[in-house]
Amino acid sequence: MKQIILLILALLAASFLYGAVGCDLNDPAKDIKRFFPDHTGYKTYYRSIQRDGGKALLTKVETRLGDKFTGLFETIDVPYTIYEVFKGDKLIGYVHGVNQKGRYGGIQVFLVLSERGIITQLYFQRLSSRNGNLFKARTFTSQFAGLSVKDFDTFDIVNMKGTGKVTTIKNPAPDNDPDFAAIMRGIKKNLVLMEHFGRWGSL
Amino acid sequence: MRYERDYHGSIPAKSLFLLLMIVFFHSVPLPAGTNLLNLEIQAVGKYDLSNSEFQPYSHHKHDAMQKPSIGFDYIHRLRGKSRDWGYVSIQSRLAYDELRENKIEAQLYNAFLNWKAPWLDLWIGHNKPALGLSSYLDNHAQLLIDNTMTALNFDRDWGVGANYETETIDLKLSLTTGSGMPLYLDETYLVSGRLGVGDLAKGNSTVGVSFAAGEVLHSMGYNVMHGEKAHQTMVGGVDGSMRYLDWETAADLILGSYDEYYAYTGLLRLNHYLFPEDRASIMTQAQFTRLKNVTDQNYAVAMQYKISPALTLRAMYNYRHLTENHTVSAQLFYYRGFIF
Repeated sequence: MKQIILLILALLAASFLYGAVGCDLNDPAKDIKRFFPDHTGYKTYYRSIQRDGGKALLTKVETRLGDKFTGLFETIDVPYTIYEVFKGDKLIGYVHGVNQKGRYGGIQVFLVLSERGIITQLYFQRLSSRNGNLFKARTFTSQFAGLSVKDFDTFDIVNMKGTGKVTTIKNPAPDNDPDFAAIMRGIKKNLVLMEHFGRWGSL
Repeated sequence: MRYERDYHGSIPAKSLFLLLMIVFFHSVPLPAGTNLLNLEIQAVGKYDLSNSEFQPYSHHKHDAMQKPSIGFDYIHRLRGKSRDWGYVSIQSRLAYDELRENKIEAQLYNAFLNWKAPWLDLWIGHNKPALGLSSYLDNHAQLLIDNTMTALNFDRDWGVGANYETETIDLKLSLTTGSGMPLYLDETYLVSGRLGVGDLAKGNSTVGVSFAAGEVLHSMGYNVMHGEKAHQTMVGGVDGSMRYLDWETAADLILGSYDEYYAYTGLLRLNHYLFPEDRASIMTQAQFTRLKNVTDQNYAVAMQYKISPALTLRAMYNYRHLTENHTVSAQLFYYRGFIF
C-alpha cells in the first residue's frame, strides 16, 4: 500500500513534466515505397525541439510558424520521426509527420519532401472528419506539390490570410469545415520543423 | 526445456532493473537519435465492492496487467550504410506483486528483433501472436480486459512471425511456443494467422479473420495453471474496428475448441471521445467467454482523461457475472519519451 502511495505522489510530481506522443508511419516500408518508387532504402531518426535547442529553438519555431505551441500534441519534448529516403547512397527526400489538433481528435499530417524541402506529396495518415474524403482527394492534396516553407512564410495560419500561392488553396469542404485551417497549420508546422530537422536546415 | 523455474518464468528482477538503468542513463548527446526510450510509471488498484477489499491490481492477482509498476518501452533502429534493415523492441516493467517474497515481479512484454526483408517483415522473440484484435490494438496501458486475458489467446508469446502488407491487405503469421509470458520449449506450440483488410488509422476501419491451432498452456502472467498441462486448441476468429468522428467501436470474437470442448471469447467495445485532441473518452464493453462448459460475462464502463501530455487518469467499473463481483479500478499512468 505504501508503495502505491509513493508511486501516486511520484506521478503527480512528474505530471508537470512534458511528454507527448510523436507521429510516425504505421507502415513505413509500404508507404515510403509508394512515395518514392525508385528508392533503395530509408533511415529513421528521432529528434525533438528540447534536445536540439530547447526553449530558444522553440521560440524560433513559433515565430516562423506565427503561432504558439499548445495542447497535448505540441510539447517541447515531443519526439519527431524523420525518414530520410535514399537511392543508393544519395539522399532523395524525406517523409515527416506531425500531429495537429482537428475537429474530431488529432490529424496526422505527413509531408513527402524533396532533398531541399519542397513538398512533393501531402498524406493524411489519420483524419476523422465528415469531409475526410474531400481533404484526402488528389484534387485537394495535389495543390501543395511544389510549395515550400517560403510560400507559407507569407500566410498567417491564425487568421488564414496572406499573399502568394498558398492563398489560392481553398477549403474543399462545403460547410467552412475548421479542419481546413487545422490542416494548413499542420502543413506549415511540418515545414517549419523540417527547416531545422532537414539536412539543408536554415532554422 | 523450461526457463528459470525458480522465478516462474520471469527474468531476474535485479538484472532487469540494472538493464533499465543502463539503458536509461547511457545516453549519448547526438544531434539525431536512432533510439527512442519511453519511461512508464503506473499506480493502479481495485476496490472490490462485493467484499469491501482493496487489491493492488486491476484484474486478477496472477495477471501481469495492470499492477503498480515502473517500466520502459525501447526501440533501437538497426541500419546499414544507407538504409534501416530492422529494429529491436524491448518493453518491460518491474511490477509490485504482493504474492512474491520480494514483492517485485519483472515482466517482459516486447523483446523482439524485427528484420525488414525485401517483401515482408520477419520477427523473432517475444511479440504479439497473429490472432484477433490484440494482434494490432495496443491494450498495454488499458484497464479494460481483452481476449488475451482468456485461455484462447496470448498478449505476447515467444517465437517467430512474419508480416506482409499491401495497399489493401495485411497478412500476419506466427509460430510461437503457446506459453505466453513464460518461456516453455516443451511440447507446446501455437500456429496462428490473421488476414486483415483496411487500416484503422488511415481509413478509419479494419476487419480481419484469424485462425490458430496448437497445444497451449493456460498462463496468467508468469503463472501457469492446471499443473502445466498442455491444452489442445483450434480456433477461428473475426475482428473489426471502426472510427466515425468522435465514436470508435471494436469487436473481437474467437471461437472453436479447447480440449475438445466448445469454447469462445468475444467482446464488443464502444468509445466516445470528448474534448479536443481526444483528451477524454468514455468506454463501455461487454465480454462473453466459455471455457470447458463454464460461461462468464464481464460488463464494464470506463473513463480516461489526459491530465497532461504525459499523465493519464483511468477509472473503470466492472461487473463479473460468474463471481457476481462489482469492482472499481483506478489508474494513474505516466508515459514520456526520450531520444538518444
